[in-house]
Amino acid sequence: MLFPTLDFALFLPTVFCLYWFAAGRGVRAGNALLLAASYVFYGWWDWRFCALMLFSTAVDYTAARWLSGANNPGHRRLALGLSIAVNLGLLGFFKYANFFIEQFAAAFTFLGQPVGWRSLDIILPVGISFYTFQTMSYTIDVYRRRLEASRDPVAFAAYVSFFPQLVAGPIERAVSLLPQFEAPRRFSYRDSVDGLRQILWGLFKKVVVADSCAVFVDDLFANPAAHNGSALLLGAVLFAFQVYGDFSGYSDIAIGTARLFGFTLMRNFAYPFFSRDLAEYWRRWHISLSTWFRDYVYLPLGGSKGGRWMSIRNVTIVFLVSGLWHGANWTYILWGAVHALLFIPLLLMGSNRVHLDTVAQGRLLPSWKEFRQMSVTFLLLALSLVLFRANTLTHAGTYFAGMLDRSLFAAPTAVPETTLFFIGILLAFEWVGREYPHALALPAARWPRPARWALYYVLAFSVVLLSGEEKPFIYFQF
Amino acid sequence: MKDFLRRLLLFAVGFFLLDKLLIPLRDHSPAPEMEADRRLEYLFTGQIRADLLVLGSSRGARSVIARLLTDSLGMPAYNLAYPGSGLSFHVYVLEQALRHLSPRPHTVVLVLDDPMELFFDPHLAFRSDRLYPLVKYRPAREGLVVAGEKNAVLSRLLVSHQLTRQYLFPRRIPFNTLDTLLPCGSMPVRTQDPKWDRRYGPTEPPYDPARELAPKRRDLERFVGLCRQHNIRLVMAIPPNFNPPTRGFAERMQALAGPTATVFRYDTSRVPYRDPDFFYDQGHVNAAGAQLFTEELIGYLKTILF
Repeated sequence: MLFPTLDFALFLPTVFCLYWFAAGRGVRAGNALLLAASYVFYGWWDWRFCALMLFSTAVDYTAARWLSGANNPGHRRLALGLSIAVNLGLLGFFKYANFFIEQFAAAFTFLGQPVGWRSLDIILPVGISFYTFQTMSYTIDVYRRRLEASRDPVAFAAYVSFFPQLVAGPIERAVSLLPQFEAPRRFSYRDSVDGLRQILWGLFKKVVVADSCAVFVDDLFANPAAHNGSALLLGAVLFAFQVYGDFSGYSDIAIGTARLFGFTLMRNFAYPFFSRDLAEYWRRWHISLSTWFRDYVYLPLGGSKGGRWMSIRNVTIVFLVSGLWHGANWTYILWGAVHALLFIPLLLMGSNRVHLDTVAQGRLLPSWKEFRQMSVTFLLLALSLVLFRANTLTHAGTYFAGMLDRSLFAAPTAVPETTLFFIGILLAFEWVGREYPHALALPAARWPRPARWALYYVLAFSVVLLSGEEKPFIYFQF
Repeated sequence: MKDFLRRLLLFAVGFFLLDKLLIPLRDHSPAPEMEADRRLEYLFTGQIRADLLVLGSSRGARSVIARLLTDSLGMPAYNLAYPGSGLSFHVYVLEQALRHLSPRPHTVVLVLDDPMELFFDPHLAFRSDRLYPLVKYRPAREGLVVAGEKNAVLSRLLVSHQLTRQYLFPRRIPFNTLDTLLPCGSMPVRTQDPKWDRRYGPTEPPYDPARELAPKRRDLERFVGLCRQHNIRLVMAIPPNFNPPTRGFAERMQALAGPTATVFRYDTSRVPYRDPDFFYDQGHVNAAGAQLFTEELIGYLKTILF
C-alpha cells in the first residue's frame, strides 16, 4: 500500500480509530491491532512477503531470547552469528543473488571459461533492506547488553512490522522504539496535530515536488542524446530534488503517522541541501542509515582510533557498503566510492566536524561564504546522483558526456517552469523552518490560525490536484 | 480525541466546500482553445459528422486522407488517428465516438503499426496529454481515470482532483510542420525527415506472436467487440513503410480479429512504395505516399461497402 493513495487514506483513519479504541483496553491489545494492521499494509503488495517478515521476526526473537539466557560467550556469539547469518542471507539472496551470479558469469567469460549460469527469477520483497537492518540492530544490541531481550512476542513483532516505517524507514533502533511498544500510550492532541502537519508536508514533497521532477528527469535520462548539456545538468539538479522530495517526504509521512499512534520515530532528514560540506550533508541525509553504519560497521571496525589509514579504510568500507545497500548495481558502488573520495579529504584535514550547527543560525539569510559552500556541496551531490539514477555505468557515462560539452553553457533545451516553482516553494519553507523538526512546524508555532489553515488548504489542494497515478517511492526498490 | 476528530472533520468539510468553488475554474479555462488540434473536443461535443472513421497512430494520421475517402465514397469520413497513440487509446476514442456521434459511424478503418501493434513500444501509448487541456469535459476526465492518471473515486468526489497542471497553466505549443492538420482530421506531411538515410529497410524476421502483450491483445479484442456490438464494419489497414512488410503480421491480425473484420494491406508490388520520395521517414509515408495509399484503400472499400 502506498502512502499517497486512496487505499491508505481509508486505511489510516480506520486503523487510527480502532487502535485508540484497542489501546484503551491495554498495551497488548493496541500492539495486537498494530501488528494486524501492519501485516495487512505489507500484504497489500504481496501476501507472500508477510511470511518472510514473520520468519525474520521469529528468528530474531528466538535468537535474542537465547542470547539473553546464555552466559557462555561462545553460545552468545553463536546466537548472534546465526541471527546475522539468517538476516544477511535473506537480504543477500533476495537482493544480491542475481548481481553476483551475473558478475561471476561475466568474470568467467572474460577469463575464457564461459559458464551457463542464468539469473534467478526472484522478486525483491519491498522494504527488506530496512526491516532486516532494524532487526539486526536488535540482536546486536541484546548481544552488547544494551537492551534486554523482549519477552513479548506480539510487541516485538509489532516493532519489526510497524507499518509507518516498515518499507522505507527510518531504520529504528530497538533501544529507542521497542520500549515504546512495551509502555502504555496515551493520545496526545498536540502530537497528533503536528503529526498531521508533517504528513501534509511529506505529501507535498512527494506528490508535488518529487513526482513533478520525475516527469522531466525520466525524459532526460531516457534519452540524454536529445538534450543539450545545460538541460542535462538541470536534470541532475532536479533528480536531487526528486530523490529528496521522494525519500524525505516518505520519512515525514512515516514519522507523522507514527505520532498519530503515540510513537516517536527518529529524524531521518535535517535539511540536507543546506549543508556546507559533504560531512555535514551525511549528518543530515538518511540519518537513520548513516548512524546505523556508524554504530554497527564503522565503530566495530575500529572507527578512527587506529590512526589515519585505519580511518580512511573504515570510511571507504562504510561508503562502499552503503552504496551496495542501495542496490545490486555497479552504479551504486561507484556512487559510494565517489562519496568516499569526497569525504576523505575532509577527514584528512580534520574538517569533517566543523559544521555541527544549523547554517545561518538566528539569521534570515546566509553569508556569501555560506551560500557558496552550500552551492558547491549541492552541485557535487547532484552530479554524484547521476550515478545513482543511471541504469548502468555506460548510461551514466553517456549522460556525463552529454552534459560536459560546450552546450553546457547554452540555454537548456527544456525547462520545467512549474516544477521549478514547486522547488522554490519547498526551498523557501525549508529554509525558513530549518531550525525546526519539519518545515511546517514554524508556521504552526508563529502564524495566526487563518493563515495556518489557508496554508494547509493550499498544500492539501496541490496534493489532491497532482496526485493520481501511483508512483512508488524510489527507496522502495532498496 | 473528540476535539481532534472534530477539527479534522471541520477541515475536511471546509476542503470539500472550497473544492466546489473550483467548478468555475474547471469550466472556464482558455486551455482547450489554445490547442492546435481540437479533434477530441469536437468529438466530445458531437461536432463531427462521420459515417467512416479512421483510427490509429501516426501511421493512421499521416497515411489516410479522410477527405479523399469522403469525395470518392460519397460518405463523410473523418480521421481521429493520433500520433504516438496505442490500442488502448484507439479503444477509448472509439468508445467516445459511439457515445457522442450521431449518427454513429458504420465503418471504422483501424490503421495498424506493422509489426509493433501488439508489442511493447513506449511510443504507442495512451495519449493522456491530449486530455489534459480538456478536463472541463467529463469524457476527458474519464479518460484520465482509464489511463490510471487519476483516481476514479477522487475524480468523482473532488473538482481539484479533476484538474491538471496543463489545464491550470495552459501554454500555446509552438507550431510544428508535423502538426499540419486538415479539416478532415488527417495529418499528411509535406516534408521529409532531414536525418533519414532514405535506404530501404532489410527483411525483418517473421512476425513473432510471443512478443505480443496480453493487455494489448485484450484491447484489440475489445475494439473488435465494440465494432461487432454496434454493427460497425471494421477494416484493419496496413499502410506502407520503407521496410518490407513483416511476414505473418497481416495473417496474425486477421486471426485475432476474427471473421467480422477484414485486414487490408497495401499492394507491396507497387513501385512507388520503394521510392523514398513518397516517404517522410522509414516508418511513414509523406503526403504523396498518403494519396497513393488512400486511393488504394478507397478501391478496397468500394469492393466491400457497395
